[in-house]
Amino acid sequence: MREKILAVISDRAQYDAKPETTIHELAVDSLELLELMLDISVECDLDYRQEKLLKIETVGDILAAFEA
Amino acid sequence: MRYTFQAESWAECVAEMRPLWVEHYREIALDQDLFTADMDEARYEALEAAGSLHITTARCDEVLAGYCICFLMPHFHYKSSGLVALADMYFVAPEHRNGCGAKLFVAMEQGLRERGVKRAHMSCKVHFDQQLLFERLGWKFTDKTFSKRLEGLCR
Repeated sequence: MREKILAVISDRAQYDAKPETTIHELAVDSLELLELMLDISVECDLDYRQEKLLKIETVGDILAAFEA
Repeated sequence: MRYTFQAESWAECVAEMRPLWVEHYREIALDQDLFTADMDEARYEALEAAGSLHITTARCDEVLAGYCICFLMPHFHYKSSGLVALADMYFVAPEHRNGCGAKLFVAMEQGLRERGVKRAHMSCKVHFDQQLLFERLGWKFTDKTFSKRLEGLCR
């Protein structure tokens, strides 16, 4: 599932996303980050709690948000 | 860069908010020939003393990156139904627009819940539309607001 999430992120952000990639490197704004989380939810049939957003600074944090 | 999001008192953040207010005003304020930036800090202090102010801040490596100020009060029509929050203003400095705003609103929502607020009302400028952002965060589009300049233009 991690690979699928990384693929969604890479496709959406047009960036070769790795767990250590920062949100800053992805160059997404707030709406784009939320759209990215929605895309992952839909394409991977996963859910996340909104408060997890507060901890997201890297792609690894996005993976963790969907694993928790 | 490490971001944190928290509730702060007026006294804790006012000095750092002042330069951001200037940017905020320039970016978004309407009718700038008629309304000059002139924050009534004494009134904000009084509101805070009355328990009617809630400030959420975003900090990047401890430096203020953004803020969201809400007024808290029982609704005039439903005074026995508990507190409601009305957004006064919010801003994220352009160099921090990398997901910071969404997190600021999530933190604000958490803080308002902790203070027992029953409902919160946010708004945005039509020329700086944040509708999709709020909807993605679970907010409902419920009202439309209209304004009319009454001085300096023909009727």
